[in-house]
Amino acid sequence: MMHTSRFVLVLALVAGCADSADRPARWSYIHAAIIEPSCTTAGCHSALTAIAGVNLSERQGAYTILTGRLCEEPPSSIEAPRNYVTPFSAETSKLYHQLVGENTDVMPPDSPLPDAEIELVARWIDEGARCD
Amino acid sequence: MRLILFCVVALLGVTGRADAYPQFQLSMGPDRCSACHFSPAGGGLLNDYGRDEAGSTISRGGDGRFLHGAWTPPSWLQLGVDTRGALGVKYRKEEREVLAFPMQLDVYVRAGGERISFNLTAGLRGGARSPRPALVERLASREHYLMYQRESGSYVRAGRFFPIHGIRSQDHTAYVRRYLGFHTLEEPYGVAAGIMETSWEAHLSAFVPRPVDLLGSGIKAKGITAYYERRFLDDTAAFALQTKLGFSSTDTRLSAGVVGKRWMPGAEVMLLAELDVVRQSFADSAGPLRYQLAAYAGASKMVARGVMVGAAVHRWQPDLRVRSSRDAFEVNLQYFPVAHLELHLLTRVGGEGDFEDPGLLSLLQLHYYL
Repeated sequence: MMHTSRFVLVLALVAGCADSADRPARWSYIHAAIIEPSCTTAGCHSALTAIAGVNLSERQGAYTILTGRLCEEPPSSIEAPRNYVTPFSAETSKLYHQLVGENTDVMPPDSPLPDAEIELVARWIDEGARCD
Repeated sequence: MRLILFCVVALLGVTGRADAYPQFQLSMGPDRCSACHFSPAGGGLLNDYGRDEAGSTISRGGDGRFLHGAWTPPSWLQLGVDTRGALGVKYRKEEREVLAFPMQLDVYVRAGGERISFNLTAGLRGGARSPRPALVERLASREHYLMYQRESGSYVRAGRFFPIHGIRSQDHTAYVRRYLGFHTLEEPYGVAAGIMETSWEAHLSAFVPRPVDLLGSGIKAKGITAYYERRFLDDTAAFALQTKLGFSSTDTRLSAGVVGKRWMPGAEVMLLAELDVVRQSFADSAGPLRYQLAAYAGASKMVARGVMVGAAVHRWQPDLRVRSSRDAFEVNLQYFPVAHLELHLLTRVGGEGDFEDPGLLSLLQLHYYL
């Protein structure tokens, strides 16, 4: 019972601290917190199905597919070969347009991401889309 | 208007699956999933009682037996086939998509006696877009397990299957399935044991990721789940507690949840609800600890024999600190004209907050099984 009470109290406290700014716009977090649970479900961009040839299941591989770069390479403002992510410019990145569903099919197609998740991805792109 | 035709070889593919109809538990008499299904989790192959019910109670008639009763397999063998196709339309931001795609082709095989059995579910997984893999690479077995079962229903099983957890809706896009590791093709490997008693049941499962890629997809985590359900009020109500702990190379997730089921005999309405809270911590200090919430609440009613209407709400909050969520409201119309056949019209509106930018999906599914 005491554990339950503490759990509820923690929930109440964290729910009261509505602040998205402290969430890191880092690829390691974005992949683990957003890309993997939302995009790599088994019927979509998983290693097995890799719809449209896009496998986002591994952190470094997903980064390369989305940005056209290896993790070790520094970001540049040049448009990425796969054209999913243009570092420093979410507005011109295909990934961002797919997440918001502007002029293209929205992704994920069955349940788009909540706005706060999309904003974090956009912030990561605008800050250079580093593989950090 | 844009037409998106998802085709796979021979117009067959698997993007969905046929799970149990949890609306039928308590409301139709059976007090547990395994009353109608061979699997203790429900879903998939129907047993003799389930096939009888399909023809005599749920649909408007017909013979629910395999091949409509034209051939009876030997007693050590049970067979079944599930097929689904879908036609639908999506609206979002004044854009419309028309969808037409095969959803499911699964074959079920259960071989063995009353106590020991081998259970297999095999079919074709989806390959909707180019480059499409070869047909043989698209064969997938979502379930294959060996099970020992006692007359009471208590069991031990090992192999590939979903652990018993939550409301096992036939809709794999329900938020409590989609976001909690129970999406299509995400069955892990594991061992499980369950106890079935008159007024309660308990299940414990341990799971690991697939051992080799050839065996299909699945979640990456390893961990355990536990589910305890108690029925009361003359089996018109049930309440369950559940938990799941999963470890992967990127995170650790601990979830705790409750499930409620209530059949209201007077109104003849079935209520189902589930609420889960997930504590997710990230490896390598990738990010701060976060709490997530997934919830479902629905009601259904058989307005006439073979005609069921329902409504449900879904909620998903990936991080409770930022109060950003996805919500959905849906209505369902399911028509069972004869045993083996179902027409299901699902209409779902999804959005965030005040639904300023809602999306609408209307999907008509044709479901035929043998």
